[in-house]
Amino acid sequence: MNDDFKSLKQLGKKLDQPPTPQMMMEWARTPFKVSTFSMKKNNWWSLAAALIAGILIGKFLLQSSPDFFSMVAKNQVEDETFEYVYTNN
Amino acid sequence: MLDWNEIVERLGPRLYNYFIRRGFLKDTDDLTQDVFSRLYQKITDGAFDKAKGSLDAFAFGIARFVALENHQNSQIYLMDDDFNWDDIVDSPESNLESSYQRHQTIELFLKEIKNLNPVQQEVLTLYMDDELKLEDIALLMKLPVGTVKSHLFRAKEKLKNLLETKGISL
Repeated sequence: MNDDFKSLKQLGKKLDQPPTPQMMMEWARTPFKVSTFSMKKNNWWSLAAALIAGILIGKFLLQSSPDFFSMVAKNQVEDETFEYVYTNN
Repeated sequence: MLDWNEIVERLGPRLYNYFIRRGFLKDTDDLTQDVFSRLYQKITDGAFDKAKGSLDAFAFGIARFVALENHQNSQIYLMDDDFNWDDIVDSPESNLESSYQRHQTIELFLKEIKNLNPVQQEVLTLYMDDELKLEDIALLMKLPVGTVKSHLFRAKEKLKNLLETKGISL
């Protein structure tokens, strides 16, 4: 039965036209174009883990560097005190 | 890991010509790129299983979906009487005469394939690939081999009658 369809393969060859070398080069570069990260069921765990790690790191930074944050807070309090004193005198 | 350059060398021209046979004359290289991007992603995600079928059948399965997603841009349905090949595709061939003859044959083929039903068109254009076997097509279209054969037989008979009146023997 396969031989009955041989002429279709031959017609396919008759229609074939070669892609340009530039096209072949672009297709060969696919691994550099495609991001290997995608939201698939096999990597949503890694996304969740990255999110939790981010929250923990953020929390740690806030807790472990009180000087910096207290300076910001102190300046803000001083500004407000100055504003209060200035506007009430 | 599979050799990507070898995959592109082997499948690039075949996928490119599959899209031409499906009537995509403007964006053929972009559609082929789309198939390669999805194929690469699937291989790296571990979605390709050698035990379930060949990589070629897997790649053509993706190409089939890409063609279905973009079918509204296929020239099979848009082609009218004042079709001008020169407006559509840049031919890499240096021999103008053979290039002209090939374009005439493709134009005629695309005009006649319109008369086949969508499944016959799909089976036929896949089978016209030099390497794809009936079993591969059955696998990627999720049809029994016997059904693919009968679609192909009917498509061939119909196309034969249509092309022979235009001087192309099949």
